Amino acid sequence: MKRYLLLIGAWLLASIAVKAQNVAFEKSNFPDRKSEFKEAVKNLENGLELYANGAWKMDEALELFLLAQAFNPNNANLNFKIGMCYLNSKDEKTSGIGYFEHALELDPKVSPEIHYRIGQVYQLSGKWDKAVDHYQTYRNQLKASNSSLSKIEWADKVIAECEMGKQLADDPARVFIDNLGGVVNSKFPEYSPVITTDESMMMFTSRRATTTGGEVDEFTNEFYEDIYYTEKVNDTWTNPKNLGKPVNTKYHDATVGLSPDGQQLLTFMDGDINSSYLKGLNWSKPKKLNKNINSEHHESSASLSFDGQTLYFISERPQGSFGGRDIWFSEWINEKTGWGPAKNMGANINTRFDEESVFIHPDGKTLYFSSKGHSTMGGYDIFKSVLENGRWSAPENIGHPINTPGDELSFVMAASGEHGYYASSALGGLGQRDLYLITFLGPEKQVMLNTEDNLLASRAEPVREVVIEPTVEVSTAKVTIFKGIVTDAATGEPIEARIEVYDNAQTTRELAGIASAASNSTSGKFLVPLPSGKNYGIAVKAPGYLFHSENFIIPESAAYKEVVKTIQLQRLEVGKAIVLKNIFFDSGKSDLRPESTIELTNVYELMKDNPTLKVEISGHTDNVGSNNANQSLSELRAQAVVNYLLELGITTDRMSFKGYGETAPIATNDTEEGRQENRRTEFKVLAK
Amino acid sequence: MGRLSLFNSPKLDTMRHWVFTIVFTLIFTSILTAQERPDTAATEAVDTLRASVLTDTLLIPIEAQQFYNNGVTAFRSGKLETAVAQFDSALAIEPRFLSPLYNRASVHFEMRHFSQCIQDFTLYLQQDTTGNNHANAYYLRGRSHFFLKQREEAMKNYSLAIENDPQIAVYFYQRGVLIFEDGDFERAIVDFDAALRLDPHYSYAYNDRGSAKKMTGDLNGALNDYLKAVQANPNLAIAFNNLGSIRKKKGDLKGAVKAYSRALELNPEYFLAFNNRGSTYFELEEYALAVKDFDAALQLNPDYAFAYNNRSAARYKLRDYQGAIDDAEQAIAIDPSYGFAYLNRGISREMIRDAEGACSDWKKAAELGVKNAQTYVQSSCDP
Repeated sequence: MKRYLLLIGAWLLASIAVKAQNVAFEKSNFPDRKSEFKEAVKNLENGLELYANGAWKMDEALELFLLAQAFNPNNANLNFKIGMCYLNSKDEKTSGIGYFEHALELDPKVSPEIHYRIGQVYQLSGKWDKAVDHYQTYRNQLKASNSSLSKIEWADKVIAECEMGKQLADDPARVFIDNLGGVVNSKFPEYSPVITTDESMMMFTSRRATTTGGEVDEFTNEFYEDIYYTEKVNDTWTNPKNLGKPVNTKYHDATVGLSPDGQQLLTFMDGDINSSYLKGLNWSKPKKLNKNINSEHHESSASLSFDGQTLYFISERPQGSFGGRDIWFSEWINEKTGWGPAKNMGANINTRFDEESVFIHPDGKTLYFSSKGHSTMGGYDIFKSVLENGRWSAPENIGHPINTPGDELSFVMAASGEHGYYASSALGGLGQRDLYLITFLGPEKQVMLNTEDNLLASRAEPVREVVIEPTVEVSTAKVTIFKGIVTDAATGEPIEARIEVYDNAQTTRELAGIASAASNSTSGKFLVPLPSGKNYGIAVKAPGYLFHSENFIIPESAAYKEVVKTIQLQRLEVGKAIVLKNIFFDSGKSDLRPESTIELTNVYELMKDNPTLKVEISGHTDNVGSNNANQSLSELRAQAVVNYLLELGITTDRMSFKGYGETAPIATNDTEEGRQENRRTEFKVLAK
Repeated sequence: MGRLSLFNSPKLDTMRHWVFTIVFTLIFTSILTAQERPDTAATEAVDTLRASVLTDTLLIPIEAQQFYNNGVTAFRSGKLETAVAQFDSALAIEPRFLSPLYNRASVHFEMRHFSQCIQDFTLYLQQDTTGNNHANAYYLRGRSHFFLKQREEAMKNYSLAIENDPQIAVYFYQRGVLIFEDGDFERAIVDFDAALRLDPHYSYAYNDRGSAKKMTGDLNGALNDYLKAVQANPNLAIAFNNLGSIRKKKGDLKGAVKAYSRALELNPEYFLAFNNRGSTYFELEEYALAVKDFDAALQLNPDYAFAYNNRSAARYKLRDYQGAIDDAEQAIAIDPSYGFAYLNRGISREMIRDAEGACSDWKKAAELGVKNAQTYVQSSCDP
């Protein structure tokens, strides 16, 4: 027994003896290594000088510190500083954990922050419990030393972040995250992706060698930012191209936002937000947004609503702010005034910490943004808030693995709700920050089980349990994308046309006007997002052409859909006709419903703008009901339209009406869709 | 005194009373025992045969009586064919001798010769004027019809048995079972109630009434009845299994696991109970334990599609997607029309990024009537 006790005692003494001691950089500590000592001290001093310049010089300091540390591995302060250099690096933030731990071992008082820094590294590594332990020790030390409340609050915040991190990591979001690959990404940083809402085109910021002017920013030792774009062809992103001048300059030019149709680009330059428009194939020179948006403070991210009427943006302006960077919004007044006064999004969205990277989904009611203030797992996390009954819902963390303990920024979501894009350096990739595609799988799909019982004691045959399938939440964006090309019906050439979107529930154009977009003059392409829940009237107008009308009645519950159409505009010529798709009657009646008002106004304006125009308004029915009844109904309906125009002041000599009953169908009467097309009002040019 | 005085003495009356009581108790006990056994024809026939031995043997030629007695002895020693031959001989001598006819019917029942059984009991019922054994004859004829899948005839005969003797619990019980199987659970409960009034320890009737109540949605009533069933017979594994299932349905998952575990102690080969306990572990999010139970169910019954499907679901939760797919495939191989197995395979295929395979599975599951599968096709598959 005695022998064992002696052995244990010896082992304890030995452990104490081998525990490393803090070794100062003093000559006397290295009597046999004079020349090496001199070199090590030089490295240390030069390193300290660089280190004093702050984070941006720490990479250089690290190299020298590591040399000094190779000479004297047991200096607590040097090990701590090496840990700090790693923590401030771009891609190796967690690599310094060994140095921090060693510094703590050598001298628990090496820095009042030592436990906080170790906690940070563990948090970034997703080692939540260890992080909490160190943060907790740090917090206790703060309390014991009567440190400021703000420091204690910060310690509480990072502890809460770890708890949130653990929770999110235990229940990961159902997503696939894919690097966009070597065609799009490079060894240089790529970030701030913006997309057309149908994901046909993407722009992003990169600091690659092909930057305009080819110069390097001396502060970061990286190329200046430029904007690049890539198009999706056959489901594959093509080789990105530099957007070129005038958008890109020899200095920093960065993406901020893109209108859903890809015709308006918002860029960031010198702390302000700029706007550029696509005219044909060329982007206009970016122009600063007005002073309601750009203050004397820093403005960064911005996002346009689907209708172009609201701009959400990030500003650091202090007045009316909740602290740090906040999300603000502004409404479009008119061409002359531009954007109206900025309004803060309020306490539900903004926190006393920073909010960044705002994105409004084309459904008009889902806001995505990054925040350091809400329940994050560390740094900026991406959150989602939904506008419900006029109020923004409490922001919800969109989950791990999208969010990590690092910073997640610049998230954008496609209209379909199935894909999101963002940049990250936390996932490896091709070098520094890369662009990633997030595929959202939606709510978890329910696996189904079967059980059975011997319900009757005297029967061997088991009875299967009737399984009632639980209702499954369908996750889909509530928006319809109407897109296509506008062409000249005769030549097939693309036309630059105006696409006006109305809410047919309104009776004046001012109230009904929802959005106005334009088709591209070169490609004729257009894209209009239509959030669910309205009866939309769409008028496609171009000078010298008859307007084209479309109607979309989209119920509140309607899921994501894309409607692709080539709209062929008829020249305003004798014999040409259009179907007025937004003229509505009650079933079997000839009274115009109020929803027809906007379409009738469009017809009226066409007549007014072309005073010599003479037209025939005709009514058509399907083949349900008797011939006579259909004939009579179609005539009465055509007459109702003429009477309406008459009341507005169009004289009778310019209008005639005719009922065709069921005699001139344009589609089959065998299907409901066909019959619906056949029930119509037409407008035909008789004289110009 | 002599014999006469003995026959007329009060002592003898007391003795007769005791003999009658003992014989009656024997019959009654044997019927009860039959109620607790699996559903075989044999046990029911033994009891009726004993009863018939006590019927009249007067005015019958001695040879016929001898053949009859030989038949009874043969039956008791398990020589059923000999018994039938002996009863045949007795009837050849005296066709009006109804005891061998009754007993032959019973032996036919035992031998699962249900058509001959029905024939003999029909003859017996036509000829017998005493009415003494009519209830049992109707009952066994009803059972024979039941085994021949002539459910309407079975029902009629059970009712006639009840009409002739409304004091026998098993008649009500068996009619209740038939009514249960026809899906009329409320009426089945009425018969099980009657059976339980006559025999308050009738564990099968408690179990089955519990099941009927479960089917009507009366979960508390079902729970009480299953508890009474296991109190009446603490060795009734199926009642413990059913108790587990009702607890699970009521959300008492831990209680359910306890009950299933007891069922499995009583019957370690009860693969249904393994499957049920596994499904409960699944709901408790104890997926590894669930997998273990499904493993056990499959060891006992390697063709058990449910257990494969369920193990697939548990493996999916454990993120063993390939394992889940393999299990769902086994389930489909056993039952190619198993909608849930396609649904589950699709769900795991989605996770290994086989979108095409997932959509094809969900489409198949939707064709097979799985509603959620249609939703998944709409939400996750290209049109």
